Amino acid sequence: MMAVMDCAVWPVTGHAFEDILDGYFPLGESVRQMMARHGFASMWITLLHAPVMNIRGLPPTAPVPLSLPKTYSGMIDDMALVATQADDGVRLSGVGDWFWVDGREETETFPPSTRLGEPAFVRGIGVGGEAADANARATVALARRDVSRPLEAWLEEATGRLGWQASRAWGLGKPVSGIRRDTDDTPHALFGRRFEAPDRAAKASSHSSPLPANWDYLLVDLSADQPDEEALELARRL
Amino acid sequence: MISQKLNDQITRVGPGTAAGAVLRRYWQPAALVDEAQGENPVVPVNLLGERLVLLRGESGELVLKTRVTTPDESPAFYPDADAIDVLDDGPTYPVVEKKGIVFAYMGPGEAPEFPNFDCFRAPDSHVFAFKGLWECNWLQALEVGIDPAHASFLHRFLQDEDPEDSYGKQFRDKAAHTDMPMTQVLREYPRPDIEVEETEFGLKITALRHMENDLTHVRVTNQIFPEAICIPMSREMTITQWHVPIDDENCYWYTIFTSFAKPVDKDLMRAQRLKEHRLPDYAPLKNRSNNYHYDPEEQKSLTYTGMGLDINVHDQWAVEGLGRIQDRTREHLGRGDAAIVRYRLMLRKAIKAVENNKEDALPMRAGPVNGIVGPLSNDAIASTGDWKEASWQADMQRRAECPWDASV
Ligand SMILES: [Fe+2]
Repeated sequence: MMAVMDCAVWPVTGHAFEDILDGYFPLGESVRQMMARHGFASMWITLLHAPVMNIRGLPPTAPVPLSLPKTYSGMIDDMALVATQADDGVRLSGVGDWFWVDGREETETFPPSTRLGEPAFVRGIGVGGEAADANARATVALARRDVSRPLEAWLEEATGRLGWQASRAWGLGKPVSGIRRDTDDTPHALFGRRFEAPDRAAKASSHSSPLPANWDYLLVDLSADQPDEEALELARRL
Repeated sequence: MISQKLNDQITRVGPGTAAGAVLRRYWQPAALVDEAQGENPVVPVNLLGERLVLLRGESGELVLKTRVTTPDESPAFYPDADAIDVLDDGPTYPVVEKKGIVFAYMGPGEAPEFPNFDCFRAPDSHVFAFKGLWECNWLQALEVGIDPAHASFLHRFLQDEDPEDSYGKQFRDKAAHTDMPMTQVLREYPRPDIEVEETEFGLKITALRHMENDLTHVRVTNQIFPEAICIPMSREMTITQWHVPIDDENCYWYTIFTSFAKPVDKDLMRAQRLKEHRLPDYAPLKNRSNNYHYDPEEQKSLTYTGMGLDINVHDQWAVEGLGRIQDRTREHLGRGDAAIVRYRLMLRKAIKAVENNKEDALPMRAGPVNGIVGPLSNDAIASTGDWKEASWQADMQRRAECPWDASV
């Protein structure tokens, strides 16, 4: 396709953000509404210590209940989610730790129909679904691992190629289906690791290739010299 | 809507509880210095579910010891000094006097240093401390204080008082440097945008009320972990207020009023508040038993609540009205409750940190805290595009004009 393919890095429209997921709706619905509010096509978010509830017999389309009667209540200790727009709403995948207070049989996956018991504060990175304007500085990029090269060298080079001084990268690992329990073999070793661009910064890429469907790394700009101070602050807090 | 178990986790504070273990990692207001007068004070203290007494220890310094109790005592029971017996094998807790409040440390290990907040830095002439009893759990008392939208409803005044009569009262000053009384700003712009930022001491909460002519009213308040708030009272004073558990179902608010330019008129401030409270337990005279002096006629013309002009009574009614411990299985928070959501996240993180013996992860418990100053806490009116800078400048000006070192 393009010269950039040897590095497989796509600068995209998007930014680091903080927001609050609405409570009481099914998680998938609150995520969908958050993406719609921001105009994101995909996003990666983390949440911590978020109460959840699973009311027996309550369909996901039922309105927000007035009280918490016969229920299973629980807590997400921590969770990282990737949400992407799909024809029928959003597709959610991710890893996390959660527990049910009242001893509900533990499941391997966390149903996206689970309702949050409170609004939940999240930090994340949203992606608009378009390649970045070649003339504007992008602060977010997607990347696909080039398995033939050492990971660190590859991410350092990608950082330079984007015209950034430093980045943080999140490895999303093998695509998982659904929201899975965070186990030792869950492949997300690069949770928020920082990379510096090599001295010999490569030229920023500009291209118009379609966005990758299976990106597995998300990079955010941590350069001290970026024009938008707030964007940098949000990226630092991730 | 959280289960009773999860509600218990964040509300209950007795020995051995999760939230109680977090609160015990911080200095707790135990009594007013006003209560501990005389050479050898013996002051009953009911704190964090423990029945204590403040007195002089063997080497002459004030300490908190456990006192003998009977099961039928009321939660804020305040026996006379000569009716108090010390329980010899109970724990003894260290205390320090600071700006009119006796603070106690009831946690393990070494007590933390006090941060350099304005209320601790101001000279004694510029601070005044008072307290009052609320018959409800401490968390709901705290949560009303970090909801910047409630003032537009609960504290709505249907008429504006002459700001000349506003000394020592909240929300009765003019807003920032305008002729608009704060009461009018709150009434006419009831839906603030709320921004919440985590800080090294807790949360900075900014409420933006976008007004006409491209002006924005900016009100900055703060949550100081674990159970205090710092909010502006007037252009002259701030309020730093702790919501201190007596037990799970009762709490005291302890406030340090801090004045920037002029010394505080303590006699007037005390007299205003003693008129509304009884001694020795500082129980408010307007309370559930007399319907908070609710007057439907007054409600038609003067206040939203019909409970008079003292906003403390409004807050007291609102939080006591939720029940002794708010039933959060029936609660619906929205995104406007951003600060409450963020606070509960901090509290749950802290509970987890204490459980995992990671006390360094608690706010203000790792490293020196004498660099923690302020916090900025004020009202300003600014051009909408420039509110951040204007809010900062308004606070800097007040600090620059102040006779004590209020620099940040
Ligand atoms: Fe209030």
